[in-house]
Amino acid sequence: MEHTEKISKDQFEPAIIDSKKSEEISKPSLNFWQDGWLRLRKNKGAVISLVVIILLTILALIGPMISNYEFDRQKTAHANLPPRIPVLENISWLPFDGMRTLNNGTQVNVYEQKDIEDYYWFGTDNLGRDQFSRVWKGTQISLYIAFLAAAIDMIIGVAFGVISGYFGGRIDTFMQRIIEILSGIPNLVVVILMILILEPGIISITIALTITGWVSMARVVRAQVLKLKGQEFVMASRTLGASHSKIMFKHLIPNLAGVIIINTMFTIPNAIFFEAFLSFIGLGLQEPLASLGTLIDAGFKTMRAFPYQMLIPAVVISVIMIAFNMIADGVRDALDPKMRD
Amino acid sequence: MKKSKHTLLFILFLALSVFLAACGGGNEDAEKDNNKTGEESGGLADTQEITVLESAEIPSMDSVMAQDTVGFSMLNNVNEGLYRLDPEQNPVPGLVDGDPTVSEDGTVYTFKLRESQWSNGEPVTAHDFVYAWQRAIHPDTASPYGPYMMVGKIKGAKEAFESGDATKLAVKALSDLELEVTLEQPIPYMESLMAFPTFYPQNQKFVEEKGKDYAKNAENLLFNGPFKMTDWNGVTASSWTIEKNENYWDKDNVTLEKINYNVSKDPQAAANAFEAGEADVTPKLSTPAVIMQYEGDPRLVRWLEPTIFWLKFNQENEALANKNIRMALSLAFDKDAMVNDILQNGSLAANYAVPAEFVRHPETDADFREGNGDMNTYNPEEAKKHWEQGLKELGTDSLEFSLLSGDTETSKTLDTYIVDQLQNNLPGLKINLESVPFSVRLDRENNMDYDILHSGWGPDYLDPMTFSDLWITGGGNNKMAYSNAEYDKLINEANTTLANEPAARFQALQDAEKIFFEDAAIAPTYQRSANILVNDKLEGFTYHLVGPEYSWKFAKLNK
Amino acid sequence: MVKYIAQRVFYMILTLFIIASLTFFLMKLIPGTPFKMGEKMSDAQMEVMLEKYDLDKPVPVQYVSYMTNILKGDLGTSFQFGDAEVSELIGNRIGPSALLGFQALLVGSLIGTLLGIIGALKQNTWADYSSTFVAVLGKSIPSFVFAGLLQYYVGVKLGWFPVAFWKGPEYTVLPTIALAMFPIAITARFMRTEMIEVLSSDYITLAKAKGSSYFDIIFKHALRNALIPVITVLGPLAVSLMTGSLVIEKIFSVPGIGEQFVTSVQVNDYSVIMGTTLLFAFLFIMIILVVDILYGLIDPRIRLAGGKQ
Repeated sequence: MEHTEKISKDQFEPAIIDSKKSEEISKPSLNFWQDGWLRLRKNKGAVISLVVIILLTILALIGPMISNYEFDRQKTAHANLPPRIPVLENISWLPFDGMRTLNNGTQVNVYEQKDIEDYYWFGTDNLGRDQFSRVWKGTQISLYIAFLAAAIDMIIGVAFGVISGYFGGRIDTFMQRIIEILSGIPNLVVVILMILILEPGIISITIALTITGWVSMARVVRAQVLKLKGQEFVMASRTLGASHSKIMFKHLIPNLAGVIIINTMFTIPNAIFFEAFLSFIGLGLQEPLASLGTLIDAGFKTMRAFPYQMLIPAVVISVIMIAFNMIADGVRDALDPKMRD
Repeated sequence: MKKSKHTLLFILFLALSVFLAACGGGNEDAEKDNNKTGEESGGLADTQEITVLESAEIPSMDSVMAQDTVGFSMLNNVNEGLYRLDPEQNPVPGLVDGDPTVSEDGTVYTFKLRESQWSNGEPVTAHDFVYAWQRAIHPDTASPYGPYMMVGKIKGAKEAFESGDATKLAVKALSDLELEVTLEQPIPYMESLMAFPTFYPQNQKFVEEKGKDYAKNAENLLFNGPFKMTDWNGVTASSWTIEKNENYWDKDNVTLEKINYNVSKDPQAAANAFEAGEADVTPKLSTPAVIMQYEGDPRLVRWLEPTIFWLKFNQENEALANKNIRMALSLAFDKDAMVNDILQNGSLAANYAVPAEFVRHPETDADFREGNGDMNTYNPEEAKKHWEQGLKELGTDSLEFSLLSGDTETSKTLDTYIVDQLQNNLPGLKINLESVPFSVRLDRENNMDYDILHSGWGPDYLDPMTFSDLWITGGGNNKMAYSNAEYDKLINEANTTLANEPAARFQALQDAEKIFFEDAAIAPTYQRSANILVNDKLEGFTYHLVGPEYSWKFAKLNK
Repeated sequence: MVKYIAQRVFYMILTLFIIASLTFFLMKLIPGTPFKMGEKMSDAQMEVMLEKYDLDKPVPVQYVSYMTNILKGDLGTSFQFGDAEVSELIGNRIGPSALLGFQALLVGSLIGTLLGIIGALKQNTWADYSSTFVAVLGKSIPSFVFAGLLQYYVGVKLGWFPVAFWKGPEYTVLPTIALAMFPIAITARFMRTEMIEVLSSDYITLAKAKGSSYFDIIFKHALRNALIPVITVLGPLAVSLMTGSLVIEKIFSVPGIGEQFVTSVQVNDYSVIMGTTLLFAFLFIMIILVVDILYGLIDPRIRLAGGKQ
């Protein structure tokens, strides 16, 4: 306090109070999504993951074509060959040298043994089909299922949950009973029925997913809405005369972004493996089509003899899942209204 | 950073140890099985106890109601009928004392029974046989195997089943130890048929006393076989135990003291349990990749089963009614590559409808297959000729069929292969694969709702007739509208006029098979091999080709 | 509250009735025969079998008699298991599945919660990334692969725990771990998201400003508010864990109800399908009721009973 004299007077200036300026927006005007996108771009993990997903999608589309072999071309004499890739085959620590480890631990070059000139980049399966083509063909189907499941979740699940939770009362009671009934009827019974009405295959799987795939999302969203709808910002908005749909879409859903995204990330692998499970019990895809799920399933059975048959599709699916989750985390952070700066 | 790493580990450790503590205690039984086999060989092991894995629970221990291999196998070890099968698959006397007296026309058998006891001390009598057989044929019992095994074989069976009066069945107890059975016509395989569990005796007093509870668990059962069930909690039990039966008439020839059973439905898991020493015998391993790991291992026991798989052509389909089309389809896929490169489990390419290593000529002892050899073997050029001829006859240049088949991994892989081969070898052919669960396949077969069906047949008694009479016109298992008067005539003769002339009957059945293949009525695919892992200390492991799968009476554990 | 619960119980019975009816008719539409011996039975024999099990009557008649029997507490008998009572089949099989499910849920939610909290507190550090990685991997590796690897390496190679079968507590270890992967993943992910959200809210800032301890802030304030989505998912997940998993039960040879149910659907064992469906649906609806009640307890601002705004 005693030192106040040391500050010279000319260091103070009167502020110019301009009522216009205080209304000025210093940041560029961005809507919710633009803002989200800007912040997502800053997240390195999410950007890399996005690139990975795009690359995998491209590979899934062109992969089956760049290999020299059709995904359903059989050649039993070439059954169960290990992976072999030109150039890389000379690097012994990479698993692409066409070597197979036998039970007793010795390594043999199966290609030389069988006198095969071909190069199967990811090896072959038990019918001598090219795994490279099959893995990417399978990725196509698994990605289709992933996007389908996500879309169903986002559209039906979110809408159902928001409406049920927001309006509450009778509407909620009624909608929750629908969920209970849908979850109560065994999925398996519904799916098996499909083979009567439709043929087993991608369409039956799509329908089966559509029927019950969104239930978990609807419940999670409803629970969050129940929590949020009593909070001040919703009340404020309502007092200001906002319509129900505006409250739901503008105020509730952005606040739900976190749970919606996390739940979607669980729906996707669930859907992918549900498809594999259906194939496992004979109701999913019909041969010679394949998905990552069915490839892993088939590979698992031969895991100890030919580990690569399971490993490669398992790695692909894990990469897809990890990338999806990184993107999801990024998107969640980017969209979270509380974290806007 | 470092701190949080340790925290994480610590927390994981904590969670795990809490959880382990929660489920601690009482684990003595587990280690017991592990070290029972000694290092040095020679002589018997001190504890004659083994652990066997089965692929399924026991659905029924009531010999009249049993319908699956696990049930039959268990019944075979804890009970006994007139005969039982020995390690060489020959029927040897069980409860029968000496050879039966047979009437001149070969239709009336009188069996003399040896004195033996049920596990509750009561004697096993001829009345027990009469009771069990009558129970099996009575429609109210709704036994799955009773009518199937008796109708057409035992006199009065059909009448008894249709009228509901079981006493019409021609089986009589002449005295406590004398059983008279009258047949419709002579049955050359009578002794092996009598080894089938459906023909086992049941103690009337016990069954009726227990009523609904009969065969519900080990306590509600009676045993008269080499072993008795000491622990079985009923159909859902995933483990059970049998122990040596001290009341068994031939107990001196039974070495094993105790057999523990566990259910293991996954082949790799079963192999893992075997590797870990938790089991001495696995179920049949169906996955080629699992079998491959043990190729050349002395513990892998392999035998050829008399089970054949085939493509059935539904002749209600106009195109499949054409003989050339059927012939083309039969010749157009490489079965050798299929069994050698895909199945890789010792299965044989089947070019026949009566399996190899199944029945032998009654006089020359030559295998059934030696008479006819392979028929309709893989021949893509021939196939193409027939195909073009067939298409011309039908006035079309392309055909589309659906192939209905099972949903197991093996059948899916094989079908994918077969479809690929057929489509490549026969231009203008399109086949849609339909893999469905077994129950659906069965239903659609019964309703003949298919074009081509991949199915199989395992026999229930040691006689080629179990295969040959499948294909007679209107036969219960034909289900593909196949009809050939000449074939019918040969089968009918074998059943009637030739019934007492084994050699001529054998010849008739071989001739019938030839006709069947000239018609290309079916396209056989393969004859299946069984592969299981057996502890190499276990001697006298005995499997069977029909009915029950295993007999432990002859087995012993070496040091 | 009492009125609310009474109302819910009424709805529960109604819902169960609808589920039972729909399942019954859908199931009857499935093609296939429940008789394994179908291949070998003559037509006359088939008729006898159909009559014995009332399958020769029209479906509506079967429906009425089945529903009447349920009201009497009779769930019927099984085809695949030689006439065993369905109630007994379910009773014998639910135990192991429920025990495994319970253990997996316990282990899963504990580890998951911890991973989630770590992830949220150390957001965007390697601890967060590895917790995410573990969670994602737990979800993207199919359970049969994980179970198979666990069985081979921990069971056969290391010999730490029994490979398979169901003979005592130590036999539950490997299947529980395999089964817990999913609850770990889902709890961790939801917990992280919610915690991040909660930790940035005003009342936590207030609590911090007030000088509440770190522990108090996390476990008293934040955790409780992050629970809503977690229990929403864990509720039904608990039911699905406790009603068994085909894959885990098959690989570890557990005599559970999951494997039995899938088999019964595949072999058209009608009465077992119905009995099990009713049980599963009942459990599911019960759990949803419990979760709905819990919402109010965890977050008093949520009022379900009135529902009037």
